[in-house]
Amino acid sequence: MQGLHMVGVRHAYGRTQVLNDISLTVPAGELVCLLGPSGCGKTTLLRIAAGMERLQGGSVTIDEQVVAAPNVQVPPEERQIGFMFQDYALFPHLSVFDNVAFGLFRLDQGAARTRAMEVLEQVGMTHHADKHPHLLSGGQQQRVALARALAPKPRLVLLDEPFAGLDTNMRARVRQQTLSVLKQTNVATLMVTHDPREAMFMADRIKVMGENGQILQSGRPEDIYYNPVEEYVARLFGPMNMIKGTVRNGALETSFGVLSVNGQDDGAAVRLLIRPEGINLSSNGDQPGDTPVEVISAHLLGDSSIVRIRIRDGINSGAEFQARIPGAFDLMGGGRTWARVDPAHVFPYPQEQ
Amino acid sequence: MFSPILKNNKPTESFDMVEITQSFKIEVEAIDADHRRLVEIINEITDAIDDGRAEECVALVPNFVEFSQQHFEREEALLTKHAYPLAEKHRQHHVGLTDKMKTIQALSERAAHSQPAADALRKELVFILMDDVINEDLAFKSFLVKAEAEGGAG
Amino acid sequence: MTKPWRQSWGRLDLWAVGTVVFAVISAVPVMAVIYLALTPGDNIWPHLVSTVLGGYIATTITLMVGVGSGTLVLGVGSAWLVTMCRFPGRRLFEWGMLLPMAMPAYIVAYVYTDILEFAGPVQGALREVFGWSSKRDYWFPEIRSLGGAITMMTLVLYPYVYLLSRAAFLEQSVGVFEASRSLGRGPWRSFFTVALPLARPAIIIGLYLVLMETLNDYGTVDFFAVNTFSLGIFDVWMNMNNVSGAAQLATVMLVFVAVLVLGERYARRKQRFHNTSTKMQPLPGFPLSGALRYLATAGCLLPILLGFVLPTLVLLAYAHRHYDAELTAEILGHAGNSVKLSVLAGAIAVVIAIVMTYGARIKGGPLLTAANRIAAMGYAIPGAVLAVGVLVVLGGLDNSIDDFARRHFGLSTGLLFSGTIAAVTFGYLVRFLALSLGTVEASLGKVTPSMDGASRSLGRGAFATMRLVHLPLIRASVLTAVLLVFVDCMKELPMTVILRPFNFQTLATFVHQYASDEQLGEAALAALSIVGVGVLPVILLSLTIARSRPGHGAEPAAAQPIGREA
Repeated sequence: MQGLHMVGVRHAYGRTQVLNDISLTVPAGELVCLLGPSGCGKTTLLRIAAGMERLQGGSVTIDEQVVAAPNVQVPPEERQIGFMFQDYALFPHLSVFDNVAFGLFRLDQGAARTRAMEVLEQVGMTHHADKHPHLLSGGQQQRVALARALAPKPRLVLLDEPFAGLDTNMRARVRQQTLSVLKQTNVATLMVTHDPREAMFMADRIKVMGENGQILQSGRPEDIYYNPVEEYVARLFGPMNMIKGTVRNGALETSFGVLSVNGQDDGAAVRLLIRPEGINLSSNGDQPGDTPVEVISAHLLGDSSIVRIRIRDGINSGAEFQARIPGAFDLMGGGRTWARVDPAHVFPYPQEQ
Repeated sequence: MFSPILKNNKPTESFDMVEITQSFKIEVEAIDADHRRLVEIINEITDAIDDGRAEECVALVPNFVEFSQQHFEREEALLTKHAYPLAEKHRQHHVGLTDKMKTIQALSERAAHSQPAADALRKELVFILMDDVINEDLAFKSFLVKAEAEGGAG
Repeated sequence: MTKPWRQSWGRLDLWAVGTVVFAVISAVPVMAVIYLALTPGDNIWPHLVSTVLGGYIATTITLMVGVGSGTLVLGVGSAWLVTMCRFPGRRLFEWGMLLPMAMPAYIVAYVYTDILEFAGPVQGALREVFGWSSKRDYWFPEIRSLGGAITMMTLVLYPYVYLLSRAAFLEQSVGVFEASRSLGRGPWRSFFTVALPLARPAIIIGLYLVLMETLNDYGTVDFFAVNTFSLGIFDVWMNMNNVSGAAQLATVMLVFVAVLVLGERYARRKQRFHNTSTKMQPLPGFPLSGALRYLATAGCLLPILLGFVLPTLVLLAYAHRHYDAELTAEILGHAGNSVKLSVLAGAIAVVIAIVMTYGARIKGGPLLTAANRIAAMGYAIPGAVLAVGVLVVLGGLDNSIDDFARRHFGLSTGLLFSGTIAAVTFGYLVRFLALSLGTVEASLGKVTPSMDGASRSLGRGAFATMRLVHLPLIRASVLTAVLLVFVDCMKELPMTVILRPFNFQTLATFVHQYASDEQLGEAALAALSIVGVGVLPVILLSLTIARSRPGHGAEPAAAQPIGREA
């Protein structure tokens, strides 16, 4: 099958195992994102795919060609890949055009020129072709780096934290452009990032990697967000509210009503994690599960607000929670406030002993 | 969305997205045959989507889900027979795919009316088979190939 | 991610093979010396031990202790004044203190002997003024003595200590020193209890370089007849005609070297406890008051005057007085030889350095790292020892080739390498490769590994990547590396004297020969040329100092990793 296939990849630096039997498939045209904390070995996996790090165990196949296996080690220059580095690694002594044409040495001059201008056009950088990299903004450098990686029509594109060097505003725009360029190119792409929202935006499939160098969960962004299989994965997306308790009759009784615990046994100690966006606030407690709360503070973030609340009644009376609501929260609205939990944002996990 | 590969044994214009190439083979015929059958089912679904017959997905996707289930059972039996030490872990992994099976069924119901749902269905089918199913099976490849060879000789 | 990547060792790898081969070749002369010392044909070791060895050891140690203490006082003192105090001329002294580095010790020795000996102008003037008529009437220090040698070497070697301690003082957090003062310790006590201990590792490295140069010196001790190991090796070899004996002395000398190297390693091991922030803050500096200011100015001025200005003026005057068209033409010829040899060595050394450092970069691994370290060891080996090694190795090679040719082709090839410029160049390379290795290595280390990755993933192989990416990025350092080796080869004396072809003169050997015959006037022009060349690296260092000066705006360009755009 066209694309990248890595099987059982293991890697250790000294005694530290950074990659523990990692397998993944990236079909041509798809973007797979490896999501994990800094230093978890995800960049090492990219470098193994590229041939910049020697394979210690497992195998790497690109477009049905075995490029790394116990007795095979195809050097990076023979793998036909495009690698985009976190620092972009643009050659400072070459112009934008020469950077992009760097990998086109097998074409004759005319064809190389045409192809380089074609990719520069694709990323909207034609009018900067004669400049040197240090004259460009971070976003422009990123686009040149992408163009350079795509110019030789690689079989596989590897992106190492491609947006980490950009400020927040620039990042949203650049990743939209990057995604559409990659999709037009119809190339298999493996990207690593530590930013879950970036992974959700870009990826057809996310693979979450833990600190032990193992894949914790694979799936669509929806799976990772709504069905996190482990507490670690659930917590990737930011701070969580937590209710501890003991399961009775297959559920946990809370101030928000009886919440499902997904088949944990009766008597088991569980922790329910509730995303801030899973707590809805209203001024008329007429829905089932509405519980009266006291608002402690509200912080406007722009498109949403973080509202800190305290439960007034029931089993969790006095407990504090964070709710995330769209838009601004009207403190002046007066009257009582009720909170309700959306079960889609509640994740039960067994309590560790 | 996928770069098409011409399958040699089909003299038609039809392109297939997926196939079991060398790196995806377990080298145990019973399992590889199951995987090939799953590829065929995926390709039928893909063809339906590409030919504008996305409404057929509702009927086709259960084939995938059911055959996967049968495959999992056959595979678990084989692993138990050869006393694969991580057999239970692998069974748990199969159980863990239940939600994904529900997802593709839900997507199949929407595929007829929504191109994004059809695209998502196609993608997810490929990833489930090529990443979740086969890549996990590759973990016991060397164990099972050896066990089968010894079983055959003895 | 220190190494870009490690590749398959399966295929024949020219980078790795080249790196190891160069390391082995550069280690061969020293190995040969040790081998010869352990298997002497004509064993004069007992004789050496009973006669001269004790004297060589005592003299060498005295010389090292003297030069070491002298350079410590001058180097650390001036560095402290220049970095921490404010007094007239401080800016000038920042780089001016380096000028004596341009002077080979043997040249100042010739100049001061000329001025200070009995027939020289100083003693002449004293006799004139006080009416003394003979040597018995007064006491005057004998310049051609161990003390004289110590003084001469101290005058030109202290800049090593100055350079390193200055950098160390600059790196120290200003806060640490001011904290000490705010806690009630005066500036002097703060200096001795805080600043000096923090700078100690750097100072020891400077001292190490000074002692290496002291061991290496041949011109000065030969002229002053101070019996150090260098002189002993020459004596046993040339006058007693005993190569094994020379090799045995050389081996004892290597023990001294080993002790120094280990001492320096030990100092460097401690260096990591020390805060090496490269950001240079403007140091507040405390203004010196009253007489102290002028004392500081005088203290900094004196070493520059004595170590550089005065000898240069004397040489200029002599060159003018003894100008002779015919002699000048001859000197030009010698200068041509010097330049040819030095350019050759500089160019070859930089090519080897590029191959070795790039090989270690792309292959990594302990073997290639060790190869680089071994190749850099030559800098620690005194010229006299290397000269013996090179001669023994090339002599052996010549004999083998000659034997082979006679046996198989019935003709004699004679001496192919010995006594040719190939021998001199080989000696230069082994000794000075460390300079180009260090320069290229430092510069290549600033090219981020992702540059390699970018180029390789775009389909360029290791060689194309070096040609298209690394070489353009490190171009300036490549030139610096050539320059540094070039300058040291121009100044080099002991190896050149022994290894040069018959009747072949360089500027250094010419100056040595004429000055030894007390004809400094005739050699002045040649000596000046050597000093002129020696000033080049001083200018280079001064520019670096100017760029890194606190408040100069940009960080020193050299401190920034190449390829990391803002």
